[in-house]
Amino acid sequence: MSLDIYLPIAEMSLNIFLLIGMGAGVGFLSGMFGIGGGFLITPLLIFFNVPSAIAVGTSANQVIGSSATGAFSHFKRRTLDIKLGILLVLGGLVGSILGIQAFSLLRAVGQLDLIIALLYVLLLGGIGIMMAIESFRALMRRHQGRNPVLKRPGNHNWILKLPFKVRFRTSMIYVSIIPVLVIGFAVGALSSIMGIGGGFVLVPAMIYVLRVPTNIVVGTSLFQVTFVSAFTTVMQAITNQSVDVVLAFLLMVGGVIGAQYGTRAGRHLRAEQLRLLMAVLVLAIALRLAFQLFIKPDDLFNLSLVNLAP
Amino acid sequence: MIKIVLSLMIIWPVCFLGCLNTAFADELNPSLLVENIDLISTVDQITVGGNYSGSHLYIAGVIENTDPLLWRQNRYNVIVVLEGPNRELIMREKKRKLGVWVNVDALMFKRVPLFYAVATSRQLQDITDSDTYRELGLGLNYVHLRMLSEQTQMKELFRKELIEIKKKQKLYSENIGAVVFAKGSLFKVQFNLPANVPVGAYRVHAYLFKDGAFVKEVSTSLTIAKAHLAYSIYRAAHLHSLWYGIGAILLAVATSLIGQLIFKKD
Repeated sequence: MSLDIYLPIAEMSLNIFLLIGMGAGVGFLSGMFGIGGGFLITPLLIFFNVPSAIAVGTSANQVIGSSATGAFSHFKRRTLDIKLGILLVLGGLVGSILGIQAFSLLRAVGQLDLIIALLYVLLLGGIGIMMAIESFRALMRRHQGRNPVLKRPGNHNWILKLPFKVRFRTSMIYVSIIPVLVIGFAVGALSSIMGIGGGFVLVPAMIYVLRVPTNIVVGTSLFQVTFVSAFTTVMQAITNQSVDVVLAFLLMVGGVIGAQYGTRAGRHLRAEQLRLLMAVLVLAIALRLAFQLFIKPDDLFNLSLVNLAP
Repeated sequence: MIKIVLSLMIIWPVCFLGCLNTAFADELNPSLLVENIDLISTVDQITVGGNYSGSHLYIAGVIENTDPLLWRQNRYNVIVVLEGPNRELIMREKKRKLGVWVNVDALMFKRVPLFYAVATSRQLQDITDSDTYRELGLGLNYVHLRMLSEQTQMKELFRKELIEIKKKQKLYSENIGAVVFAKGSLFKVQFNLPANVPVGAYRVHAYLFKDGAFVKEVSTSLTIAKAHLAYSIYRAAHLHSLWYGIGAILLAVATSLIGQLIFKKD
């Protein structure tokens, strides 16, 4: 019996244990680092020759599950700012709509794969380098016997001066809705083009720009990610038919299992060690994607249907 | 010979009574009769089942009014083509720009078959000459592929590459000897349908050749459908994409919830 499973939307066969294992590996890392994992799933699928469009659409679907249950447990613990979350979602929906338009346009002109790869190289490369430097310094400081000092959030005076201020009671902040909507929008656009939840952009943005207390940040971020990636999934399904439920399901099954062990493993490592490990991983993926752009591909020619008639 | 004479003798009175049409008598003389080819179609829809490794399609046909002498010398040949469904395809070529491999050139193919399989009774070069193949647009070297481009050189290159890609995907093929002559004047063909065979409207063309010359072509249509779960999912994604998307969300949430319940217990 063949262990390959046919993926109906990707229109290819992959080994079932490879897919569950991939989900488990990414789930393990997401549990360990407390991240969504969408930005790891998409490049991994691309490495295994899943078409970029399908990798992105499916990854958005896969992100929903873990963020929905995460958001719900934060809601029960009242560590979720619903009002802030809804505004972030509104911005996110607009970002997602525009992102999907850009996605379809890029696909039609045949540059989607390139743009996805470039965005990943830039985003992962940038974040990886920043994290590596930051965690390396923190480790050195600890090594020299000093306590790690967290950088104080910068003083963004101009953001505080923006109009349309709103009070968010749960977060105890009084801030203009403009940066809230803009952040939501950016994450929505990234979610639709790159297939990521966007937590690793949303969390720092909320901490440093909006000054949301750290205990509220994760729950609110998960709330936004849940709704925006659900919306993106539907949009991807309607516009590009790029969501493969069989693929998403297998990744999620692996993910659920992997996340349990990841959370346990994460407790044994120090925060700086975790961040350095994460930085190395992120940089490795960015390099691998960059490498793929520069080496001569095996197939210089590729063929695609113009209109996907059923 | 005696049989023919006898039948002519029986016919005589009829001709006297009816018309004195000489052509009528000619039709009864085998050496002057025109050969005919026909496909015996039993089904007009093939459903590829749950077997993901692909399946086979069998087609039978009949050749009539053959010259017994030429028939015995194997001078009759049949080529059967299974092709379809016709779609617009776009092919892109990657080139190096600023060190990065980017899709640069693109060419549109108008209504080309996604699947094209040729089955022959012997080697293509032993059936007829290349001029005839070109005229008929028959075989991988001469199949009509309409391209939207003015550049002959580019068209030639892209045409060659399309056929190469399709051959790799097992969607374009030439199957020498796949047409087998059976008892009497029957012939049968076996086509291998790979797991990735596209669904839709197909046509079967049968060409008869006599002593190197093209005699006749007949064709019939056929629909290929898929019945397995994977195809149902594919169809749902394309025909009911909104519900498919909502289903995908529910599946994600359900998987995660069930996972949480399982791991909470231990």
